[in-house]
Amino acid sequence: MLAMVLHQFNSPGRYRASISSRGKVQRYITFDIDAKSEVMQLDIDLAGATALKEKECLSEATRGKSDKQAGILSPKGYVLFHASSGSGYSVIVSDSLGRVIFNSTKLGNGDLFAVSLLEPGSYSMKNSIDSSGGEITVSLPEKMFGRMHELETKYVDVSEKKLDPPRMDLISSQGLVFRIKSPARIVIAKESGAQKAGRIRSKPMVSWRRLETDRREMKING
Amino acid sequence: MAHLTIAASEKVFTGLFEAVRDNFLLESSDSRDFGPFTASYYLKAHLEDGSVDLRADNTVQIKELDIKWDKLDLTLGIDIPEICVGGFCIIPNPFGGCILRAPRVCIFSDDPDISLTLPLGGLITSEISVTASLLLKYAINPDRPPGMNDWDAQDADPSLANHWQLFIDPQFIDVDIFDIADMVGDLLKNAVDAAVDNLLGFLPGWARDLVKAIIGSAIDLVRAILDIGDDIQEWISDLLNVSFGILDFILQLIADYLANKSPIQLIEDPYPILPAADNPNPGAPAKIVPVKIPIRDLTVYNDDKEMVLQGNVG
Repeated sequence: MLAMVLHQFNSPGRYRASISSRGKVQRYITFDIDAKSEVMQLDIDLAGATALKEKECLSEATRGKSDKQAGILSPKGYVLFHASSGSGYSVIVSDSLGRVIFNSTKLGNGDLFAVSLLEPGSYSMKNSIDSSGGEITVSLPEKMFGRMHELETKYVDVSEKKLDPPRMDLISSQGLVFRIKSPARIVIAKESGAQKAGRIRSKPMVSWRRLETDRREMKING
Repeated sequence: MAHLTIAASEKVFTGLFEAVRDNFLLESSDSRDFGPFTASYYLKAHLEDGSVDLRADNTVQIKELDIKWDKLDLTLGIDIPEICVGGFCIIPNPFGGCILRAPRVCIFSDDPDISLTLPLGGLITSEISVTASLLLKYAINPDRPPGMNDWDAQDADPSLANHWQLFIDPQFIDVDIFDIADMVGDLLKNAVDAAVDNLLGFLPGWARDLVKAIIGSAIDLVRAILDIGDDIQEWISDLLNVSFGILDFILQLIADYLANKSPIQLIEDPYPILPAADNPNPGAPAKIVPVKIPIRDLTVYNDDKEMVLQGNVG
């Protein structure tokens, strides 16, 4: 399972990302939005950032004073937050005035949520804000053996009370992008394996939690 | 007319050959880098059987001489092309290409990714035949001090006597059979499957299937990397015999062994015809020295019945 969130920071300036693992802040990273930059994509690996922290053994006192500079990005570009390993990561991005500009647990209009489902089987997808939902079927047909790189990305538009299209057939590893147009909490849960109908996971593999309070988190469960 | 003539029947000659044959042992190893894969071998071999035929044209033929491969381990190190998931386009460029891509997670990033050993020792049948002449050489003992007489050389332990050496001098050595058993194909497939499963062992079954779906059949991939055509036996035979030149190497060793290293018979010179003995006559000395006759002009030939050595005394 690969999952990532993308956000566009339109205003030039310095931004600071607070990276948390299971609700606990692990590290701070800064990046700059510069109108002169032509860079359209800035990848920030939340797991990698955490690993750095573990190596450096930052104390509470030093945390925030040794921010890693992640890079410079065009206002037209996107910052892509992903976790190369593990689960339970979230990120909050503030501007130079300390105002929260982006919270990975609060996707809004223009944000993107991209996943690559690997395990064949049936999944449910649901926007838990308005209970709109749909189904995803992931298969691994033999005719695709050796041709996985040819797969085209598929898209789901998330608007109020609607996931469009509501049903999605994917090949294992194929990219699926949710284009967020209204506040959403996307939950993808595995319903059954390809050859094990009826087997239901008690825990969702991927979930977005849009809570009523400010304490919100993204969960990516392996 | 020669002063001395010694003849040996084909049966006696065969016995002399078998003693030399049984002392031949070979141990060798080598490795090569072929780009997409590396290969190395370790072998131990000896000779068995072989029918000896003395021929009327003064040659000796040895047929159906088996090279027995006590061990022939062929190890292949294979670099599987890196496999990545992710990397799909998130925002396509309407004018072509992609503006934003997902990160990728890759496996098979090592080189080599898998290493497998095929134990071919029991799967190869090989027979050679040798056409040879008999060859006599005179060998001066290199450890003998200058000025040492022949009697002191005989008494030394070990003996420092000079010798006539009788060799089988190969003119031709042919590989008549080099067969690799059919089951080597299954051996390779099983080894590849085991190596890949071991490499992906940390993944659940469906993930292994996914990787195999991406790379195709592991054995097909490995066969493609190794450039194995339809005939895996032929590929292994070419790898061993053309790329490594194992058979050329072994034939050269056998030729050198027979012609230079291991005489089938040694004839001491001067040849002791009477050993040392007590002096039967009264007075000194108490012992009389051995009687030895020098042998010169020694030659050898054979017909279809026997081997003949002739020489002169003096």
